[in-house]
Amino acid sequence: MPKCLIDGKEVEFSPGENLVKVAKRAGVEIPVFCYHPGLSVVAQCRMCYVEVEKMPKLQTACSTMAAEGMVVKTQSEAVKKGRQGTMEFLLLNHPLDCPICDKAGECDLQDNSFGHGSANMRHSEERRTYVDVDMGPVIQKNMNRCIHCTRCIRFGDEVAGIHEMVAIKRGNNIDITTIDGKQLKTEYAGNYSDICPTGSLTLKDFRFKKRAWMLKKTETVCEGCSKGCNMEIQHEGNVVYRCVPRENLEINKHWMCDEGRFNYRYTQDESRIVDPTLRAPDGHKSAAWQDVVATLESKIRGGEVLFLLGTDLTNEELSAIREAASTLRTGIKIRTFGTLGVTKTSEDGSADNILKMKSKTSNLNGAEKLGLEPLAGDAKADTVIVFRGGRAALPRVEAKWSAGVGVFNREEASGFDSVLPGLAFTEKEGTVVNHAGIGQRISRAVRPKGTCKSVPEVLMSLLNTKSKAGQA
Amino acid sequence: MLAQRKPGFLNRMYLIEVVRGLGITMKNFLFHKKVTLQFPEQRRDYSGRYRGQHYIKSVNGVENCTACMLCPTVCPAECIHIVAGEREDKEKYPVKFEIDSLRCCFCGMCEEACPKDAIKLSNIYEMSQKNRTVYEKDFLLEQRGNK
Amino acid sequence: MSSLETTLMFVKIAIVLMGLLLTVPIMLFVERRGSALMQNRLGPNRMGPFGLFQAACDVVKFIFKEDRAPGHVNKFYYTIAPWIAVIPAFMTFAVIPFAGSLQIDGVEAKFLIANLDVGVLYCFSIASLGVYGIIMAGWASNNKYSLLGSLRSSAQMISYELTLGLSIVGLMMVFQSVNLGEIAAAQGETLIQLGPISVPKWGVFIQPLGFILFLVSMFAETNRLPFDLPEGESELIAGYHLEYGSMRFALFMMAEFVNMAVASGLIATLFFGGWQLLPGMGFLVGQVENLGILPPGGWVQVLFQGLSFVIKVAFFMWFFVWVRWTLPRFRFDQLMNLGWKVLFPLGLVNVLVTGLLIYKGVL
Repeated sequence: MPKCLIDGKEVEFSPGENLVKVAKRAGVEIPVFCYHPGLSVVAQCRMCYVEVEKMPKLQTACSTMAAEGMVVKTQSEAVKKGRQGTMEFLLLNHPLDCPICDKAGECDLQDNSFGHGSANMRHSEERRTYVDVDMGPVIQKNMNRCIHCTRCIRFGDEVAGIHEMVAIKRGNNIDITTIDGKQLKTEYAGNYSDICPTGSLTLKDFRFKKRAWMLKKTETVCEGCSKGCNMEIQHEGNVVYRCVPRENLEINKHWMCDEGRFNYRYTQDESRIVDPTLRAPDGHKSAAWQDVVATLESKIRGGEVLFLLGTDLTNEELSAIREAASTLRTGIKIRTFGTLGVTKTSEDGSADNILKMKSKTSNLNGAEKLGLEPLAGDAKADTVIVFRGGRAALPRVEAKWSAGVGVFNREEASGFDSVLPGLAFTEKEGTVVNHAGIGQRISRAVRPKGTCKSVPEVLMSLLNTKSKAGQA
Repeated sequence: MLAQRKPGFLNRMYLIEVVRGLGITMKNFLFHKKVTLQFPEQRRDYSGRYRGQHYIKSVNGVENCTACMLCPTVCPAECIHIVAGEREDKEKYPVKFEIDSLRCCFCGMCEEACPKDAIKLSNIYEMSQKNRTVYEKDFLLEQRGNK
Repeated sequence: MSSLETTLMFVKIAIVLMGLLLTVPIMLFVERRGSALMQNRLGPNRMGPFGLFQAACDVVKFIFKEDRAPGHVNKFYYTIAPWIAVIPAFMTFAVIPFAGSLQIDGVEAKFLIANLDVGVLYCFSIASLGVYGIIMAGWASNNKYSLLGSLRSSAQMISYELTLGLSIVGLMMVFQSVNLGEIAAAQGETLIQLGPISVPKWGVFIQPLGFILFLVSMFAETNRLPFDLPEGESELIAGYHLEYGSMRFALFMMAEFVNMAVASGLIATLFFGGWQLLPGMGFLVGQVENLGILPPGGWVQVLFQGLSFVIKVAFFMWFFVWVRWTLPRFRFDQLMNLGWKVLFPLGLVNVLVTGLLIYKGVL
């Protein structure tokens, strides 16, 4: 492998790697704005200046490929001066509204200005101001803060596959906007906010909710589809505020779709059932856990019993249910359900050639690998118990008595005789297997709402009730 | 070892010492300057840096605060609760701004952290009240300080 | 008894009672402002000029406060205890002369309520009744602090009564009497003539040790600092009157102030010539008599004698306050050591020495 020297450290590299990547491996951080590892290189922000020996001028690290024997200095006086100059230019028109800006705390411009900029400014003219266009329901635009790195334009072209962001006019009048000021159409709009190095593009969903530094971060996996995108739940005080993608070059790279990003909303929706209920003549009534479990136990004692397992459950939950079913009594039929029309991994596939998959549940592959059969047609039995993580599409159920275990909203719950509330993906631990067979772990970010209980807990109390009834 | 010092006979009789003590009290009674401050009429001068009653500075009836949350971040007592919002004339403003006066330790960190010169600790030290333990936004917006 | 004598009796009782009752608000004021000034404070100064009406306000407050008794007390003793404490305090003053005598229509009017031959003994016996009030209060309150306070109080009073009695034995031996009227009258004589100044035959000059013993014992008997162990708020909260409020508490306070007045009266009578004119007052008496405002026949003399007595008593009452804010409280063992090991033997020595001196004819 060829080697080069960065700040006196010898680093190996593979040909074609640029200096930002190589320097990062050497433990040297080079400040960047326009460069993003998932996007093409344009070298227009001029922040990543480095000094390369035998080259007369400063070079941009992002567009300079490492070469054998190259000697790079990232901390020399010339580099510092160059970066300081770049910072001053970038800040000429940047408003000082960090207290208002949602990006504050995780802002590249803040960090780099603090690390490489000057404390003084010579600019005394009035700053330019823009009238902002409406960017649709996901993104809030504030052109005043923009530093024209064009990451968003490149993201649309190269990742989201839609050319909707453009730079119009030139020089001081430049305006980064959508074509004809239309609203964003892409279903990956949330990423605009993630890649924007300033607060120019921020999420409307997260606007003014919390400051970035107050959020606690839990690494987990999206349950939106069988892709299994890596993401981070950002929460504080038992409330989830937003989800952002985590880098995983094998699965989702740096991106995430809006569906998965805002999927967390149903877990803290008003209509979610958080206390066990039993059907009464005039609708559902909340009941005590032991009563509901006792009723459930009495219903599965005889007759034809069908357990319907959502493919949005984790592997651990699926196998626990199967084991419990065989312990409870013989002859309990177990079928899985998930997305209408996608019952097997072989039927699964990319929905838009970017990230989204046809299967809208996270663990279709896992259920298949556990040997569980998918449901064909409607669910017909004397008693039907539906276990569900929160996203699997409910099939038609024809039964004398039916119960739902897991996450349901009020409308879904009305189809059941009883609901035993369970944990959503933000509240439980477990593993899921994505469409490509990669097993990943999901982690608990917040405490369960209300008196929600995990599937193993429900099963254990079911078995306890049965053994007590057997003794009596 | 502690040095044992035995007082002399006259000392042990205490009578002379008692008389001297009486003299001291009488001296205080007659001649010393009395330190009492007649509070409502006389007031003690406090330093300009004294940290008392909070208020949010406002200019032309618009509060300086932009709900940037730096004060709740820096607050060691975690007594400031802000909910941010948006309105016509101000991009970001505090919909709710509460200071739990029972938790507040008057350290003045919020004042130092504030980038907008909004939260201030005035010189007012008469803060006793019958029922209010949480200062609401309306109360804080009364411009009672001079900082 | 003639009607004049009966009238005189009622007048004298009225004078003494009014005087004693007046001392309470006055002492309230003096004590509060005196203590404040000694501590470099101002004290209560809002009510009236110099806060003079503060005492009146205090009295009104005491009267209008809710008179409630805790549920755990013995109602009967709890109720009578303050009265038992306050009544003997007033009774004692009956034998203390507050002026000389006057001839009115051939009847000799002596200015003391009861001219008892056992005067001093009566004083001590009645005064020691006061301890029953305290013990009753402590026991009836059904509170350990109160009980401890009253226990201390009884031990302290009994211990110091011995010294109290012994300290004036010498004086009785010198004056050959226990009648306070006679003792007061006897102190008018001249002890030594030093040029123009004549030193009167006051008790303090012939019994200096006796005076100190008597003074210290009197502090202990009245439960005043530095001997206020029955109250000792740092260890007993408030001692025997812990469970008392409103007027009942005020009665205890009144008893304390009246006791102070009685103690001051006794000190003045026994050791400072009682109603005998203060030095220099004889000249004033002559001047006023020459003015002829008052009827002749010793009226001016009696008035000035009363004034002298009041001034002497007032000084000692002030002295009580003064000492209170100077000396810290004794510990109980120190109190007992002082009483039994120091004051009691000194009292015996005093009697012995006085006896020897009388035998030698010096006194």
